[in-house]
Amino acid sequence: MSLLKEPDFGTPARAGDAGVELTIDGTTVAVPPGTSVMRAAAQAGCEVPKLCATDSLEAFGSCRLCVVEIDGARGTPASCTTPVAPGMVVRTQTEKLGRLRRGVMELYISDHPLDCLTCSANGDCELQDMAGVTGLREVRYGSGVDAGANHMDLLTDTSNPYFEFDPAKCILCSRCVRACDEVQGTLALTIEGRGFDSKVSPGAGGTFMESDCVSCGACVQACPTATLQEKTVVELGMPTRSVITTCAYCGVGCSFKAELRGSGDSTELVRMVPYKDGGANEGHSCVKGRFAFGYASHPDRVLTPRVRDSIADEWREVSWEEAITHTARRLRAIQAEHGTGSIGAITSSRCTNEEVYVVQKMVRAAFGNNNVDTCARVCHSPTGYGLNQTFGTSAGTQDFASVDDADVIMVIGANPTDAHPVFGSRMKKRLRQGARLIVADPRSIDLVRSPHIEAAHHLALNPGTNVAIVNAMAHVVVTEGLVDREFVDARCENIDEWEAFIADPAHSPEAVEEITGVPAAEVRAAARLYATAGNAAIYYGLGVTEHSQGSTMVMGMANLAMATGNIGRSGVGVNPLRGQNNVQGSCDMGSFPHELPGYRHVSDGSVREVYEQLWGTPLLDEPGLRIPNMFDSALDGSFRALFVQGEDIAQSDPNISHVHAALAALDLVVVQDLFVNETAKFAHVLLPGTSFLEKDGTFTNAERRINRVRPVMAARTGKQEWQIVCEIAQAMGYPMHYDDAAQIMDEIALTTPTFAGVSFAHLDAVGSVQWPCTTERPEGTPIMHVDGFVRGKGRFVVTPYVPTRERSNRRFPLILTTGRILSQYNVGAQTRRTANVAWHPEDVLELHPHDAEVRGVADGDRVELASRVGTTSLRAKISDRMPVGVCYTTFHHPVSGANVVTTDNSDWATNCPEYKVTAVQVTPSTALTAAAPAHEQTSVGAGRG
Amino acid sequence: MDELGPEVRMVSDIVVQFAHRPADDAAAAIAAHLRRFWDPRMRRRLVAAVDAGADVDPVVVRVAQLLSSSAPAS
Repeated sequence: MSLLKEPDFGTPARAGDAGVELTIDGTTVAVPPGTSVMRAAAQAGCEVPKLCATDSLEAFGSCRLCVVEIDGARGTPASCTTPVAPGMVVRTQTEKLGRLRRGVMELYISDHPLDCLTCSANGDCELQDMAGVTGLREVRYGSGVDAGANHMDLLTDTSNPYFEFDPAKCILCSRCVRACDEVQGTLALTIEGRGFDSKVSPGAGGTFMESDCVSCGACVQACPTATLQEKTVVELGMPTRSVITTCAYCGVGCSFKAELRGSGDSTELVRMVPYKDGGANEGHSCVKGRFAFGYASHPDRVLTPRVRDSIADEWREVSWEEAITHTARRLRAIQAEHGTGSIGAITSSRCTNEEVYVVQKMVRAAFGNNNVDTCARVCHSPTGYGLNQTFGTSAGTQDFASVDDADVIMVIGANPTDAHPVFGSRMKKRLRQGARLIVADPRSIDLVRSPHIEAAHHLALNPGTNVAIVNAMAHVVVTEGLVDREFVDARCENIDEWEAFIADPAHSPEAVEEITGVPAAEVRAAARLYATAGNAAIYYGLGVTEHSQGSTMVMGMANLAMATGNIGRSGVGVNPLRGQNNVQGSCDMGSFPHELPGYRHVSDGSVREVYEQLWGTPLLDEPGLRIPNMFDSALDGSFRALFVQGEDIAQSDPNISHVHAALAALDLVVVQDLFVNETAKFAHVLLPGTSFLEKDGTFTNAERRINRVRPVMAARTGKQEWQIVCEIAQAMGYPMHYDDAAQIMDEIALTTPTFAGVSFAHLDAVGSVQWPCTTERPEGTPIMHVDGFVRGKGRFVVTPYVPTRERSNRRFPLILTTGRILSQYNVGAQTRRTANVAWHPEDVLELHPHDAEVRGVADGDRVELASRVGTTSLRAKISDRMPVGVCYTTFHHPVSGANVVTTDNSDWATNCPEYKVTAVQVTPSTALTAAAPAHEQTSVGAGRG
Repeated sequence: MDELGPEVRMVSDIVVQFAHRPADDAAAAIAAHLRRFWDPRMRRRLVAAVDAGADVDPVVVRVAQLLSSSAPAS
């Protein structure tokens, strides 16, 4: 594919029927009301010159280049700010307009460097283009320094690691400022000064890195000149071709144009540009997706298979053939000695659907057991359980665009502006338009109060009391007569039992106020708002699921949505914000030990028969081990070998000392990964993996959208990951072969009803689809449960509040909760190997000022963090975002060992760990305490102090 | 409780979630849950712990009895 440049219609599209007909340059065009003349002209094929307009931003009308003549109108109005009218007759190209436009261009060029041939934007500069389009042949005022006072001696700001800001090339179109305002919603940029002194400024006159800029790159993308330019473009030059693919960071699943130079072995990735037609992101991105791709070419990448007999030995590089043969032989030997069920695998939410599918197939068909689990176990497994129990399927109900129709947005245990930033921006846009916001979170996340956004209700609940809060809200709905009877009577079941339960005064906001810490009046007001203000949508994250009552809370939210009729149309729903890029897909693909692909239980004989016939082998009808059960069984000796696909369980899973002991007890650990991660330290075989730039397959995002992942370059390891898995299965004696990844998807579609209409060819034709995608619904299903629930009737489930067994006491008086930040991703294996470390070089412990003061801790001090299971050391950050009694950290850096202190407590239904509630103590420390479990706590004097 | 094994801890977490239901109903629901989600060796370990006289909730004892029967996962 050549370099893809999407058409720019100048101003955003307007919704509605194309009911306004007008004539532009003799061509008749019909567009929806509210459309600009500029956009209508572009749709009619009459491009109007422009500089300050671009269709991702509302019209601004500053450059005066887009002037047109309109019959009956005075003067020459700007086409970007002039809406169409029925019968309007417009001329975009006249001698007068040409003269005016050249005059405008003369003024621009008089204060712009004439270094086009050596400029980094040469060939991709709209100012350069407009000079050509308008026929500019002279600049009467002179140009550059000859034109008198100018801005060409302004210094370039190179503080951002990914882009530079050269104000000498700025034409003050404000596109960057407006992109930051309208698209990203951070409002970090402004136009400082007046008249000739006007200039774009990040914050109060400092550098980009000193400002509130979140480095999403929307300003860079919007800039029509080289003023804001990617450093890679400055260094490498303009890309020459594009490949459309999907980001491998969070569950938003943004589509990108990977813009490249060269071909074959000389392929260079110049930049990632968010794709305007991407269904999930519609042309926006965050700092990770747009800029943090350097890890794919990092020298730490493992490119050759490695083997060793003992984890005390040095690695030995071997051929693929030896690695695969060795792995298969060891797996079979362990099974021969310890039984069929003594081995298993963990799939990765970072890998493609096709890669995950073959791993679960290898386990079920070649291993002969169901010991396959996925990293969703430790994040969204309660979503699978809870939504399946209530709605009948394990997925969010809406597409992302649905939030545009929400009147009330309730964010529970999620921090979208950090963890799902592109959707967070979309949500903020809706909030700026007037939607009301309820935030349920112990911390004051950015959404609670940020520029032009303020939550109507911040329910700053005590960690671990989610269920009490959602029950209290439901109590208000039921007892104040706010139930949507028509919806409930027609669409749901078990309402009587649930209503009797929830109406009990024990669930009233007043009764639980002491438990939750949230004033009853605030809960009542939030419940009334949710139930009565129109379309109400719930968005939630790991602050819901990673609790001992995670599944109960998911069902509690589903109850609340059903009771108020907020299911089955745009603007409503219950929406899990998935952490990793393919959490949804890895679950869809049968990664859980009790489910075959498509969430069908292994005990279902008719489903097993489909696979038994196709795979040619009998399948077990009993569930296998989940990840925590694998660890427990490793320690009791019944589980002996583990294949780990692209996950770093030795860093990410809770109670690390327990995990390390389990891994060390295994006879064989096979790690398939990009790097020698923490888990690989316990491995006997290391199989190099492929980055998303090398993969061929699909990811499924949080809105069930199946997106193509296209290889930008050849696999640096020489093999696709699914090929390696197939070859291990074959070496174990089970025939498993595909010619390409498309064949794997064909098998998925053949065997999984909700994917029946999916194929690579179909995705290439339509862009993306949201499952269910069937032959009857080839375009997919953006919104689920429209006419009925997947399970028939939505089921109300009684949701008792059961406190966690983890309690604070005098020895451990604080509650630690964990989470993520914008610039880093999960265990940091990728983002720590990019310039994103500039924003977050280490994990820190956020503490309320009071908790810090009583402990004698100052901002920046190193502190010791101790729980019942372990101790680690972090630098303290005093933050009034935290409530008294609660502290917070991230888990992006292995050295900080946040999961050294987290416990074995888990969700009752799914074993999802309770990362969000750990009783801890914080004490000042002058030494770097090695992250250590409780039974071997040590301190060392060296370190970062 | 952990000295009784992780299965006893986990089933005890489940029992409290079903405390609002009559004991027999709760035990039946919990046994069904374990058949549906627990590997057979975990169910065997739970039954063994109860049989060995672990000090557990009476509902857990009833669950263990139900698991000892041969009803399949459903």
